[in-house]
Amino acid sequence: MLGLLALGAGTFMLWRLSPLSSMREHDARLARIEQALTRLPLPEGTERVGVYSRVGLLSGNGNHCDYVSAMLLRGEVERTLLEGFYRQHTVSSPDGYPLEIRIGAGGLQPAPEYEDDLLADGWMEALPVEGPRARVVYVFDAGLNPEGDPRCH
Amino acid sequence: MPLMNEERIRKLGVGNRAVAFGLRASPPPAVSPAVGAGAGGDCSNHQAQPTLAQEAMGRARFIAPRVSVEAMNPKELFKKSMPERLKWYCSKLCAYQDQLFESASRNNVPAQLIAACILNELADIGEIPDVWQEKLGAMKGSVGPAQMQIQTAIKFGHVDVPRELLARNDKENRFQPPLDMHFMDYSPPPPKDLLLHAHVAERLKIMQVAIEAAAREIARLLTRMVEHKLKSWQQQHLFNAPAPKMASHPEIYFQKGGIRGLTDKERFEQLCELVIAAYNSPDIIFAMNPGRSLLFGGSSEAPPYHNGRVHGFNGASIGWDLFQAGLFAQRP
Repeated sequence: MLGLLALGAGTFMLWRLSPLSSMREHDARLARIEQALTRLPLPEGTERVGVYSRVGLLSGNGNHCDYVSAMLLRGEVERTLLEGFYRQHTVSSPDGYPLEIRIGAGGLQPAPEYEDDLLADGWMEALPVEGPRARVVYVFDAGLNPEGDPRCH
Repeated sequence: MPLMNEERIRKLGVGNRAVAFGLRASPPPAVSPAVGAGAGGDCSNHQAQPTLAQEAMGRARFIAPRVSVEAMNPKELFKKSMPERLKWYCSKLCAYQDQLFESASRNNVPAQLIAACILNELADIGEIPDVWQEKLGAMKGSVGPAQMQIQTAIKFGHVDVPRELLARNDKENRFQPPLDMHFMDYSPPPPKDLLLHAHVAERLKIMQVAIEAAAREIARLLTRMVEHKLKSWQQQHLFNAPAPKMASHPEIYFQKGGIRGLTDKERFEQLCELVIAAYNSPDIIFAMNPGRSLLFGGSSEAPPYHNGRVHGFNGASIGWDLFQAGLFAQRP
């Protein structure tokens, strides 16, 4: 009985450790951003092939948390039309400020400043199938407080 | 009434400094350059360390320390008096002043800006995970005195890599063990990517390499800012200077017309905020809504680009100190 209590207390303390609790907070925030992005309507003639979200030190230097949430769209829509469509919509960050909806320059990576190997690996299969019809639509919430999250240091 | 506006901005800046660090609002101490230097801001008493140029000529060989950073936080730094802060700055960089000047000349960026950038990073080091990250030999994340992200350094070529490593071909190098070799005696050669990350992570822990890497990154960021002068972050600072490759000299970045501010010192402070925020979060250069500069009354508590803007503000405060004391100023 005493052993079980000690195990329970140990697990609880481990759970409350700063890195773990801050990782949980960041993951929850990321999930809300992804949810806000995927709730957007899709432009006519497109369909969503995949969604990818990640939190960590994704750009620049020092310690901070960046959030990227991206979706891969398939369809015969010009980039300018996509930009026009998404200018009419906003994604709100969990803190209430609007996040810019951006269209990737082409290929699977969102932008040169934050290329992401994991994303490329994840969507590598999609590119040969979709070819130039694939477009990445993404939001990037950069430079937030890293706290103890080891992914952001 | 531009003078009144600038006065107001200066006061706002002081107020925000208090918000950013949770300290009592007080104007920056009035220390003349001579007093500043005498109070601990003089590098002449420090033994100069060799530079990368000397290493390239075979006159020095650098060995990376296992751990290159110590725990520190901005709150603690800005609690110190001005002479104490200057002593701290000197203890970190005076021995490497020659490297600061060498890297500043090579990349055409102000030496004091490189110093402010590195000191700002050194002022924000946590025991966990930053120090431990180096103790454990991390090959990912930000390392070294410039807290440069290994990925950033590799991607933009901020750390020189031996030619044989760059030319390494994993397929060609794959060792084929003889048939009679026992499998326990065989270990596959490490892949190029792993070696590259290990090399860059190790080199970034050397102060001279960190200084050169930071200078290259600053030059890259300034170039991107020139390409995006009309974006909000650059507009807030009225940034209007040429890219380092086109600039006639590094001081152009804080001369009249290059950036907002009435005096060289004010302009240098704003240059530090502009660049050091982007050093942390380069996306701030391109953002439509980067948030408001803390020097101009933005909140230090709220996103977007919260960490970048706070870093920019802290770096600006360090830059103000350096400029006031004439520390790391490169004489033409």
